Amino acid sequence: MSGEALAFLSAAELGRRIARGEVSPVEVVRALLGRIERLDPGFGSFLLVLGDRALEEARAAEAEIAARGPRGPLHGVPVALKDIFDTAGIRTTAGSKILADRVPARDARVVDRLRAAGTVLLGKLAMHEFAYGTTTTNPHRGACRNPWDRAHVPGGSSGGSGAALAAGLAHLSLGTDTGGSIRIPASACGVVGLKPTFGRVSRRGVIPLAWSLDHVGPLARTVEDAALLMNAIAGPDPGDPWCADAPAGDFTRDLERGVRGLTIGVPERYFFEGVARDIGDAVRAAIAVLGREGARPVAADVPHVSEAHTALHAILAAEASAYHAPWLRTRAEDYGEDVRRALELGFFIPAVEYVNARRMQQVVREEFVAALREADVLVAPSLPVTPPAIGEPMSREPEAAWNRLMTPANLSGLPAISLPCGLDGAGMPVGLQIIGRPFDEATVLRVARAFERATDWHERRPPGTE
Amino acid sequence: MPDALHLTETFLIELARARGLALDPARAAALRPQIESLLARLARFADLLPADTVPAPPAPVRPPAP
Repeated sequence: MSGEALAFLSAAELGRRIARGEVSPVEVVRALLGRIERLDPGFGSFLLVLGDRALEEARAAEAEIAARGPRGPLHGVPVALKDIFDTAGIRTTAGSKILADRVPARDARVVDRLRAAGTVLLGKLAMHEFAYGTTTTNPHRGACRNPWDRAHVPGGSSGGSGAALAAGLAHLSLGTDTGGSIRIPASACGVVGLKPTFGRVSRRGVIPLAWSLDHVGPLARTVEDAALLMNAIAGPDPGDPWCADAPAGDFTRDLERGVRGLTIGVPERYFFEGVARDIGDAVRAAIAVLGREGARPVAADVPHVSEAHTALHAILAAEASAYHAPWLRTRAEDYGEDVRRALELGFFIPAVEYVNARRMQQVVREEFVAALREADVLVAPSLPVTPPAIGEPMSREPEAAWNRLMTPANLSGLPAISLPCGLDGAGMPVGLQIIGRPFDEATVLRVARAFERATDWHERRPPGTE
Repeated sequence: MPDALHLTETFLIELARARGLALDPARAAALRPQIESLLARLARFADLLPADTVPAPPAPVRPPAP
């Protein structure tokens, strides 16, 4: 099998072939390392490649599988992590100058779990500085580029994850999502990104952006791969006081059940307003596909959703500034300009306004839960426009913000996925967002898989990634 | 509805200094419209929020009872 064919296998299929002894994890890692060396100078998706170490882990996985059989479906499968997850003995910087020399002593809880699942750590990926932005144009490490068009951003903050998956440089990744940072690069790069329910996945050992909004979740090229990653990482963790004690279950169990009998809520107001025509058309076509598969579309509404972005902005800015205050006071010049300005803004939010933003969070959360009593999931565009050119100014104002369709799911804590559902007139990927009930990632994944099974958007490859 | 906000850059610089943050006039001028915009939008919440609305719980939302 060619290096390209190996690189673009789904993680699930790769795991099956490794388990049967048809493919060697060492061969896979070698193929990916070769592709990273050849292609990644054009994308800038990796901050750190763990070449020898990854090969050593792959050899160990191969020997263990030969001796005792696979630990599970991801044993021997390579994974690359956003540089926000602590990795013991391996530099973890959050894409910053402030933490440029930081080497954690312990793995993040999710990294522990990936190691227990037998995955092979390939490297650390590019991100927007401290996860506080949507472009991954990083002043300290350079711009990460979108494989579909290198003049454009890959989204962010987990932009390296989206770019590496789309370019066939990794099979799986983890990201974080405080205001869309998993789903934005997933949509922008034509891959799958799932923000689970708040509290579903531990954040211990993950550099925070805003404690009450941060989520950890998978990025992958298929819905099944995202579900397999959820099986590996989800579940209670006493080390994260805000991690739920809900048992994780098997996120692959309902994947192939289809959508017959399910109700799909379509929130036209807000979620379809001001959306580029190509994107609106692609998402409406996706809803029609789900209808043909047996789902029933119904109108849905979240009355205060237009306030969600402002409430999130206030909470995020205040919490992020509280975390960064010591460095802002002593090393402000070591931040990139956009992040420094966003952090400075957080110092001017009065406590009363922060509390009112938390009250609005509760209003929006209750309204989403009410809407999801009438529908099994809500469907909407992921982004209002496809990725802008690198260097184009990005507004954080609610009417113009690129992530404004993402932030309601962060504020409400509900699970939400983005998966590819089309290309715009310029050939850039369009994302379909599916939002579900609290702790019902299974239904979100089931609807996403039904759409994926009925279409071939997930099989499209960016040009020049052979 | 509260009156529209008009913050002065001097006020922002003094407020920043009281919090240990160095903000020069150019940075204060760049920040001022963003702060005014966010605070104006947040001020609307006072009219929009029902009086009995409590803040979102700090603990995660829990799964529905079986």
